[in-house]
Amino acid sequence: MFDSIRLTSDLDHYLKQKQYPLVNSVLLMQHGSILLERYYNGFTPLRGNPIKSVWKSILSICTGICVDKGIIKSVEEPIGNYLPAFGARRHPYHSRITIENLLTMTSGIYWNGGIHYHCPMVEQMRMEKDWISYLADVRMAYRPGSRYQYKEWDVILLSAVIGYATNGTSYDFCRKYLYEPLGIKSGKWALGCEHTSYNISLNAPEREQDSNLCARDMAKIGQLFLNKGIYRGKRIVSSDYVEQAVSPGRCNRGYGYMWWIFDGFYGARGYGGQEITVCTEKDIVYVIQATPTSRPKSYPDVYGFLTERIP
Amino acid sequence: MKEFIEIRNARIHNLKHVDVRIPKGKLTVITGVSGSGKSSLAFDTLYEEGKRRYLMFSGTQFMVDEVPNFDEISGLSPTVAVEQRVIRQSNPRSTVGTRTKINNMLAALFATYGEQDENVQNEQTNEMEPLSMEMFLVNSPKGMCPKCLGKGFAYRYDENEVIRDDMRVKDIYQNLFWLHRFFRRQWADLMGRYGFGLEDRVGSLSEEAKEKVMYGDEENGFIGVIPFSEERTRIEGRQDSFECRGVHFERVKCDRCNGSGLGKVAANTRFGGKTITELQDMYIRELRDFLKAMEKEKDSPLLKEIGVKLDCMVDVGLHHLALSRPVPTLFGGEIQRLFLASYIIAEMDSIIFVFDEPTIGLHEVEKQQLIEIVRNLVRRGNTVIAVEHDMNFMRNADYIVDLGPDAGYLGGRKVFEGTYEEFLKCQTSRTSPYLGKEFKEKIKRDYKRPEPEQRLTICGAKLHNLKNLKVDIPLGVMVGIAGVSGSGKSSLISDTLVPKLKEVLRSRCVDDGEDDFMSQKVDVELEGSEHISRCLIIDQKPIGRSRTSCPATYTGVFDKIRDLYAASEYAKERGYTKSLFSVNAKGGCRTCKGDGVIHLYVGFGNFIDQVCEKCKGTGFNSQAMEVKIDGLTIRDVLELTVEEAIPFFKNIPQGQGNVKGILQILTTLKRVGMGYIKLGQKTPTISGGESQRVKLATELAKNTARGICRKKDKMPLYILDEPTTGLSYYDTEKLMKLMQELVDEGNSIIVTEHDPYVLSNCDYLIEMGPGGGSDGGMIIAAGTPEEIRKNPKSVIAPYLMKA
Repeated sequence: MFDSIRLTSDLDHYLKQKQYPLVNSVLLMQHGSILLERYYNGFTPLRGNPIKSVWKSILSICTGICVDKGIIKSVEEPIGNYLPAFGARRHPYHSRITIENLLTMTSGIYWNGGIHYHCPMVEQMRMEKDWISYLADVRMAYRPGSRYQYKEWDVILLSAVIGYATNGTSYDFCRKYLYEPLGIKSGKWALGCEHTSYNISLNAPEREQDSNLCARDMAKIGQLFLNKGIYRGKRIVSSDYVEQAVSPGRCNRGYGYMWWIFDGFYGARGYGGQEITVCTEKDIVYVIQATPTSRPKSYPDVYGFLTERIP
Repeated sequence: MKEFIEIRNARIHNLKHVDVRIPKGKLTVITGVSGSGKSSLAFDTLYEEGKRRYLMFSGTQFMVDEVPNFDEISGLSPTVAVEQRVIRQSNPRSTVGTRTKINNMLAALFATYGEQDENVQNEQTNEMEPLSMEMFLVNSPKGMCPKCLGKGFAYRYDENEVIRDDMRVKDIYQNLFWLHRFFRRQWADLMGRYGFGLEDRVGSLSEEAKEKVMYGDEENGFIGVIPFSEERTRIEGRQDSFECRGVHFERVKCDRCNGSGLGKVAANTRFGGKTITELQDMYIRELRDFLKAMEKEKDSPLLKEIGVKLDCMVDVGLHHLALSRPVPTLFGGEIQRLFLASYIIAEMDSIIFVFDEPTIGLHEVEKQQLIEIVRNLVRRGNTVIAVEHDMNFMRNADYIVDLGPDAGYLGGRKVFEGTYEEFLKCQTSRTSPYLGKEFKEKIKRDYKRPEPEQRLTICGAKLHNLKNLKVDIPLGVMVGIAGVSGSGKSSLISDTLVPKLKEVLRSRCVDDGEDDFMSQKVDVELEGSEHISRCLIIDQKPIGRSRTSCPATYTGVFDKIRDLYAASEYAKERGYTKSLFSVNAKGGCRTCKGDGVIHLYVGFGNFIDQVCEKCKGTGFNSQAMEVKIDGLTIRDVLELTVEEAIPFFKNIPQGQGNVKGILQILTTLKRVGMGYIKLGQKTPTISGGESQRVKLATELAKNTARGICRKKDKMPLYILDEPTTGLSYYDTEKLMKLMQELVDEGNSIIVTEHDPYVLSNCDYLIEMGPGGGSDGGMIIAAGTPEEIRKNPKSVIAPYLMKA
């Protein structure tokens, strides 16, 4: 019989020893039941944490649902079919940017790094009315599909594609077809511009908080993927899409459709230590959440520490 | 504090036990013929040691034991060098505004006082975003226009013209993909895989094949026609348009930022009714006046601070520049004054300034201003040491050091040190005689009259500040183009006439260093090009682009020398071939890759060069170093100056190799005043003026080798850009003789120049002006030097010499 209490105290000790004071929740599930659920810093099963770029993986699921429902014909469709600014042939490459390019971070649009969300170009974009038109003006750095570059542009455009395709916003769609069926509670994602939800907000952190998720809701998303798109017996997204989403991409073997692929497991990752990890082999779903600060921090070792201690 | 900087037994390069005492708080000129060792003393000894001591003291550099090239230097204080060639290698995107940091101050001004246009703000976020300084800087990602990335322009091409269905496959980019070695293999692979041939029409290709041709192939790495075109649009050029193998690329203002290079909010924010871009495009004098007027409305320390900086720039004679002017388009003299301005602004004293020919590229009027500025620096308690040839500058110096008497091994001694008056009496100097009256005897009296039909006519020149000019340039004579800095000389000759001639004459127009895919186009009419058989552009761009290029490789003499080494008995016995005698081929030392030194990073952005242990600094491997001719290795030969090399090769029996060809090139180099240069001198240490003379010599040597063959009514045209830059009077005179010979032989010469001696010896002058920038761009006088001297409109007239 597995000793859950022992594991919990080991975890407490480990986090203390490693000096991880910002970790707020850790949740480990195996074979569909919870092995460990631990909260710190006054967090509870009901109190959410910022999801940061886990949002990208969630949008990827929404894209899959759109394809299943025929709202989007296929991921190979050019985004110009949905976004007029990209259909206007402002650049010879625009007609070649596909939804799949967005999902794999290979749109080829110029990106000037910056520290995560403090990307200066995003700040400039935020000051303009029409983000999509702004993005259609941004220099094309590479031929679409030829180079992986992790960037906010691609996920913002994906959110816009879903918004335009459904004549609403990606939030509306996600709530109806993903969050509600899974029983996930979340506030509204902030609206960047017309049809375009974007959960990250620099100047209004209170609006970003609306997209927070608690550890159990994060785990539901992991469980959905572990079960190949079925949640509690109900098909949410096709198994084909789930499989594709966690298969190595052409330009980056460690990245699928906005899901990260590791050796033996895959998952969603967000700035400041937000993780959903799925291990099919061991039938595990694992979640960790922490308070993000200006210093990028992540806790990849915690997953290893826990899984070494379970059968 | 010591009153003198004392150097004892300086012996770097060709210096021979030089002892000097340079007074502090004074203006000292170090003079001498080119190659006499001026720079070795001023820069390589004095400045290097000053820098080394400063770095050692401030702890930013760890010390590597070096053998000092002097016994003692005392009296040093912090030393600043203002060299031309170092400054030239600056970031191609830096502008007058970024260099002087005035752009940052303007950005701060706009962030504080800028009035935003509400119409461009995001309504979703609702609140007015506060402005920040970065938003007004084109080189900050927060400020730069995302489309042009801050450049303000982009090159456009018509994608439907690049590739059309009715086009034959081989005609895409005029065969480029098929013919260019770079693409050939990939292209052949595509044709094999998709089964199409060169003669097929693009329209007949399968969808898949066409897709690969247009957008590239991941498998074999073929770039694709469209991505290839895209790459061409990114060149850091300044030309209005260019042609790449039949495809036209045109520079267009970025339609997103309207040329400002900024994001929308910043581009629509105003101060005093003007955007930051409008201010940066103003000439500095206008900008200063505009901001002065604004001071009445806004009491801002920032505004005052900018005013002080702009005043300084006007004082050093840079009023005709705009802040948006790219630094690489400035002349050497302008760049130096830009640096000078920033030091004056800093208001420091007790600094030792070492200048490298500060009067280069300056009009006589401007020289006077510069001398005033330098005197001001001295008055404030600084020490100024200038390597200089200019007569007026010397006259204003407190102290003169003359090195020489000649170049290379015939120089390197101290010929004189003392005051200007004493210097005039100096009998042994090559320079002092020119300061007296005899010089005037060498001024031309008889001007060669051009044939009336033989001339070039440029119509509608309106590039930069040119005011829609019609210019007649007589051929068959020596034509001088004069005018103050920024008056439009370069715009007319280098940026209008030269590209047009290239377009018309094509391969008969010789200019090295251009990208082999492209050619430039300019909108102007040109008549009379039928009189020109060939055109030789002899400019100041560096010779060769590789790090191992040097005069020997550029002139082709090195090839012949290597042949000679390969033909030696020793080499033949061992089967050594020509390629052993090049550091770029078999002969290079493996450890330092032929550099002779190893570049060590020592932190804080500092590098130290350490002599390569393996090859002892020669750059060659041991086999190459075994082979000797008359006791000299190939490395020893590269260390010879032209002057030294001539007797060496004369001693080699004529039958061996092409000794005659070698001597021909070397003697021509000597004739253009380059006797002092080392055969293996590395390109980065060769000044623009020197590069130009090496090019001239190369062309002349080719002519001699070819023999003169001239078609009737057609003549070669030489275009030179300030060829006397950095030359002493002694060498200038030699160069003028050579140019005169060219004209006498029936060649045509166009020369842009400031030097009154050169101008006075032209057959015909075209003077541009009257001022620089918006005040220039017109032709104010034209005629023989004698006619110009009597022309009241001319600015240069009072400085022209009377025969």
